Order: sequence, then C-alpha cells, then structure tokens
Amino acid sequence: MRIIDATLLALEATGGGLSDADEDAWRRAAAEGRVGPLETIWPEKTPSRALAPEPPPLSGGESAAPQPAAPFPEKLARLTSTLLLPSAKALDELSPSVFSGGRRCCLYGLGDALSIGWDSAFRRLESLSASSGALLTPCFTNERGCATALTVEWLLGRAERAAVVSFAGCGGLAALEEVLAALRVYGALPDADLAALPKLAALYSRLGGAPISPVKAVIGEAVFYVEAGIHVDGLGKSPDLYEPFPPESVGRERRIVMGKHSSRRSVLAKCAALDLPMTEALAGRLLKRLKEESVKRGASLHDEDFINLYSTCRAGRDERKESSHAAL
Amino acid sequence: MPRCKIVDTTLRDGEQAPGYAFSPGDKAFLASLLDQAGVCQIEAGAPIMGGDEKDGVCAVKDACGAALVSTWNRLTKKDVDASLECRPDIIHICLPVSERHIVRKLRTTKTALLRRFREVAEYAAEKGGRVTAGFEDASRADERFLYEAAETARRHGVERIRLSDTVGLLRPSSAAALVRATLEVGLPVEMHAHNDLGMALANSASAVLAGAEFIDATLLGIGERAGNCGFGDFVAAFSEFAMISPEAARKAEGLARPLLSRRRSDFFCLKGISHDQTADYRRPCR
Repeated sequence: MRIIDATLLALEATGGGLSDADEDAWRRAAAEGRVGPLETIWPEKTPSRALAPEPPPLSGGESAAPQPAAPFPEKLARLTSTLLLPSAKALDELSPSVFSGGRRCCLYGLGDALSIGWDSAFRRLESLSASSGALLTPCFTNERGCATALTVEWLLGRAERAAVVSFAGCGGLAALEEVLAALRVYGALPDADLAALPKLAALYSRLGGAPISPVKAVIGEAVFYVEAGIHVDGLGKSPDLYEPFPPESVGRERRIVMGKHSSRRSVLAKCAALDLPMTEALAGRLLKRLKEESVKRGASLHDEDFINLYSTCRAGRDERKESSHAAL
Repeated sequence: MPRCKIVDTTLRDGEQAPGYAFSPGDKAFLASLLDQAGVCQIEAGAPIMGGDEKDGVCAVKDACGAALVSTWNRLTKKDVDASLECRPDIIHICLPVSERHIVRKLRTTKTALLRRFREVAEYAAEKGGRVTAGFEDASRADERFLYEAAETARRHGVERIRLSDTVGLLRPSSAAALVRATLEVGLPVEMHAHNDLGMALANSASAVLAGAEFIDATLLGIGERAGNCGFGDFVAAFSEFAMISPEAARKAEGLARPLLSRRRSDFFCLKGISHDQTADYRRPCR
C-alpha cells in the first residue's frame, strides 16, 4: 500500500508559499518518524524532487519561482494527471478509455461515496483500473466528514492500492494521522511508529497549518485526558477498557482531570499522584467540595486549583479538630 | 432511502469530557435548543451521580416539549431508583458486552451478568419505565454473546439496543456488520459512535445504511477523548438520512456554541482560540 502525503501542497494551497527549508523540515520529520509507507508530494516549485504518483507534466521545470496561489486540486493537477470527480455517481458513466493515456491517475473527490454505497464505488474503481491498465489513486475529499473512513476502507481492500492524504486533513482531505493510526489498529501497519506525531503536529502549525484542537483525533494534546469516575476506575483496572490504543503510542500521555464527574476513586488516585496525604473522611469531603466548585465554575479544575481545594478542605478539618479539642 | 432519528447525548456523554460541568440551568438551555431542533430523545444525565444532577434531569424534563428524556444507569437497582425520582420517559441501562469489560472491569461472568441485567431491566420496567439497553464496547464483543445479550434484552421488555463503539474502533464495514448482526434479534438499533480514528460520522452513516434507526450525537461533537458523532455535522453531511433539517441543527449549534466553546477554550487555556476555530474533526470542508 502507498500513502501519498500532500500536506505541503495543501498548505501552499491554503496559506501561501513555503521555503525550501520548510519542505526539508517536513520531509525529515516524516522520515524520522518512521510512520509508515509514506511518499510526499512536493509543491510545484521543486519538481525535481517530486515523488508524485506521476512525473510532473509539461509545465514542470520551467521556473523555480513560487507559483501563484491556486486551489488544491489545481495544484495537484499540475503535478500529476488528475480527474475531478465531485460525486462518486460519476464513476458509472466513466469510460476506461479516459485513463488509457497514463499509467497513473489521481481521482480527486468521491467524498459522497459512503452514502451512495462505497463498496460498489470501490468495485467500479477496480474494474476501471483493470480494463484501462491505469493505477487509479483516489484523493477522497472530506465535505461529508468521511474522507478518512473511505481512505482506510480503500487501502485495506488490496495490498497494492494507493491514496492521497494530508496532515490534519489540511485542504479538506483524509487526515494522514488518522489513516496511519487506523491502519495500525487494524493490523495493516503493525510496525508504524507514531510516537513522533506530536513533533509533526508542532511543525505543521509552524508551517502555517490551522491550530490543532486539543481533542483532534490521534494528535490532540488532550485526547487522553479523562474525568469521568467510571472511566478513571476502568483505566485503573486495565487501560485498554477506555482507550483505543496506548497514549504513548501516539506520543501523548494520560491525565486525570478533576471535576463534576470525578468519583471517590479519582480523588484518591489524583491525591496519590500529587503526593497529597489522604484519609477516607477527607476524600469524601473533598469530593463534595470538588463537585460544587466545578459546577459553580461551569468547568473542570486544573491541578493547582484542585490542590488549593485540598488545602482548604484539610485546613477545615484541622480547624474543626482544634475547636473540638478546645471544647474538651 | 433509509431515515434515522437523532438521540442527543451532549448532556451525558458530552458533559463527561474534561472541561465541562453543566448546571441545571445550562442543561435546560441546551435541552430546549435540541428539543426545538427536533431531536427525538435527550439523554439528560446519570441521576445516581449526586450533587444537583437530579435537578438537572428534572430541569431538562421541564424544558422539553416533544423530545423524550432518558437517564443513563449502570447495572444496579440503586441507579434505577435515583433515575425514577426524576420521572424520565426512558430508563437507559448500560450493559458492558465485551469480554474485557465483563471480566476485567465488572469482574463477573457472562451468565451472572445477564442474570443481573434481567433483574435490573425487569425492575425498571415494573416501575413503569420504558427501557433501552446500551451495549458498552459492542465493537469488541464476541458476536455470539452479543446476540445472546440482545435476545435476553428483547425477552425482558427492552425496546431498543444501543451499540456503543466505546473506544471508537469501528470502520464503516465493521459498523454495518455489527448493526446487521444485532438487527437479527428484531429490536430497533441505535448507533453510538466515537471519533478516536476520525470515523464517527462515517460509521454512523454506515450504521443507518445497514438499518440502524437511531443515531447518537452531541452538539459540536463534544465527548470523551476525540469526541462523539457531531450533531450539526452529521445532519449537514447526511441530510438525506436525518429527520432534522440542516438549518435547524445549525441554528441549535450556533446558539450552543458560545457556552460550549468558551468553556472548553478556557479550560485548555487556548488564549483566544475558540474550540471551533481549531482543527478538530470538524476539518475545513470545501
């Protein structure tokens, strides 16, 4: 299987020019990460290094100056023979002769393939491929939020398939990191090392990619943060109960967040992690105060706020103890 | 063309995500938006949690006109009792069905688990509740046991089965297979998808095509880890399935967004970047 990374091309299409240094940095980061069978499509200004599905067409090599901004599919079409297919319905009317000129052709679109029957669309792609002799490489678009799922199903179908993706789904494509994580989960890329993804995410933002949400699948910083008592309890018994894969396998970490949904056991676990001495009575009082405070704020508590709350609860107990001693 | 109804779980699974703690007032506000948008059911919370959770569920009940209100329960009568105090329309009972959840989390056996489920489901039904079952970790369950659990549910008055992809491991083909296998028992199926691999929308759509009549969603896709199937996104992407107009869904999310993004952004100290401006699974579309 071949995963073709069009991140740099998509970044250019959405944000403007990238320097050679930027491109080298991305290439090195992706290579060091040993993330999988990854090929990178370079932006047009450096056609000599292109690893595109097909050598650059006629316009290639004319000038090294940055090209004017163009939408992603146009940029893709300048690098490789590309067919725009806004709907998978168009596959039915497509004749194999369309592909007879080229060894490879990128199919950009097909984002609605899921709702109109992705398995029959894939069979059609296979038969077009077989009768024309061309290697058809889909670049699924994400207007229906299905690009990752379609890419994963496509690549899992047969070993020699290829697809075009981009980091964080930049430019409206399937998200590279989701595709890699999914293929690893399903056993198709057992050796993919995804611990370098946070580094790639940082570089992606530096190169002008949109800020990455803390809860973005696979690469979000806070994906493995957990508050619900029932989940904290389960993770204590066996992490895989409530995690699809270990956080460290994608370079992230698990963290217990305290709030309205915390349980007594979460309080005990958090206090142990923070080295705060604890008694059963204090845990009960602290949990009650934690829930009240969290609802009052309308949010969960950061560790420092939780420690303050702990100190208040503990001091309250000490005061009461002192006053009861005084009464004696 | 298959159609599906939307079950909203913003106030239960959505709120469980770090960063959120809704007051009864917040819950009533969000519920009224969802009710007006046309969701068929609102999972309002888990009354056993204590604090003001019961007040929250009652506030949701008062705020809803057409939408049914359900509560989430573990497999205990104690949870059901707490729920009954709030007089929900539906009592939803969570039944873990994967080997690892049964053995490692509940430390029980399949036989003992189903016995307990029968008792709790019958108890809830006797008290006059409509009962639905939530098959937790269904995506990692053994298919034979899944069928046995679904058959037990059907025989004991459960009216619908939720298939939870608890850690978001399904893909469209496996989601469809899971739905088809469960439908053989003859009860309606509800799909509860998580977005860990970025496939919550696709898996939900695939479930509908396979025969699921209900889809779980949350406002802006908030939820554990990478979130749940996003309400507005799903309705917009699959308007041909959803029995809600994309305009109504967009309006509800628009009105809910200030509350949801501000709290999330504040908690994660995003310094001026609002939740919806960042590249989560709601990636830029064309």
